[in-house]
Amino acid sequence: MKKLKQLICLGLVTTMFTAPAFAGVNGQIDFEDLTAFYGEPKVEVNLSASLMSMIGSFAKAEDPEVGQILSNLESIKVRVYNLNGEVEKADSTMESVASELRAENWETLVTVNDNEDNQKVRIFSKSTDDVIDGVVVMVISPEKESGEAVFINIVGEIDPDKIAKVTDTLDIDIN
Amino acid sequence: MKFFKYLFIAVITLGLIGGAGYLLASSGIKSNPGYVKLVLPSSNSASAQVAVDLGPNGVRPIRWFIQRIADDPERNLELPERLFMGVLDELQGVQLRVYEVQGNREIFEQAINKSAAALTQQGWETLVKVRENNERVVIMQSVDQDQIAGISLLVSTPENAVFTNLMGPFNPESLAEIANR
Repeated sequence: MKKLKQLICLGLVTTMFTAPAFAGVNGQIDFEDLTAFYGEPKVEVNLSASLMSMIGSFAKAEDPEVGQILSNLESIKVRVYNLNGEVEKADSTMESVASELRAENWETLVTVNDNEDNQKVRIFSKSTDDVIDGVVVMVISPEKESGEAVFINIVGEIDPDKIAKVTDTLDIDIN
Repeated sequence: MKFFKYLFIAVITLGLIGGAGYLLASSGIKSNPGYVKLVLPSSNSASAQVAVDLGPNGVRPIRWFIQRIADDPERNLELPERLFMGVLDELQGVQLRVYEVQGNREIFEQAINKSAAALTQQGWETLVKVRENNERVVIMQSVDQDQIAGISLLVSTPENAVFTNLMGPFNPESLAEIANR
């Protein structure tokens, strides 16, 4: 009996520690845990499907293609954190998120370690039957003010090449 | 002496009419699902420059008046104006407080923190939170069956602080239709 209790406890503890903190369903990831690493975000945006449809309609007037892309999305979450100079810690956090995403079968689309702005960029996608369920974009910009980390989760069918159009339309600055 | 008697009666009458008008205009506001009791700075620490509380009875005449202006056939409404009219069509209530910030920004920051925490506790969702360049913006929504029951907008800048609660329900699809027209 004692052994059974120990096994149940061990099982629970193992489950708790192996469940990826950022994993979600259908291309969604949970950003809540990022606050523990980076503190309160300076920008937080959560757009649901009905709002995406509305924003898509607004965008159609200027660019029908972008309007259609936005209308088809289920949600967009954005978090922008101030790094307060702690760039190394931010890098390691981004890597730990990246490895958790890989463990959850997210595919790496883009890895940039040092572009002309000294940024680190990671883009992941998750697909089911060749249809993209979601995309995650992570950008660490050490030279922006005292450093900035941007996390974006786009849920819904989207061509990764069109991510920049979506972020531009929503005025999300990741450069 | 008679003059003061009439003056007293006039002041009381105006007060009663004003009070009745205020009660009529703000009635029904608290029963709206999109209503929220905003955590405002205490009246000892800051007094609002603008304070508006309108329920359906208060919104109706304003809507009627603005629609009369907008219905001018010679005017072509731009998209932002059409959207404003769309929101106004569905608006059932408003709470608005505008404060001037005079070295007491901390009070408003605390009020925004408490309001946002209270809204989260009541199941409101965060749409946008921005804390940048000495400005703070929080937009939260209460969603009920694909409709937006209420929107709260809390803003703090070095000059002003604004606390707003718009009550619907607002239908994102009908606003999208307006944009497509």
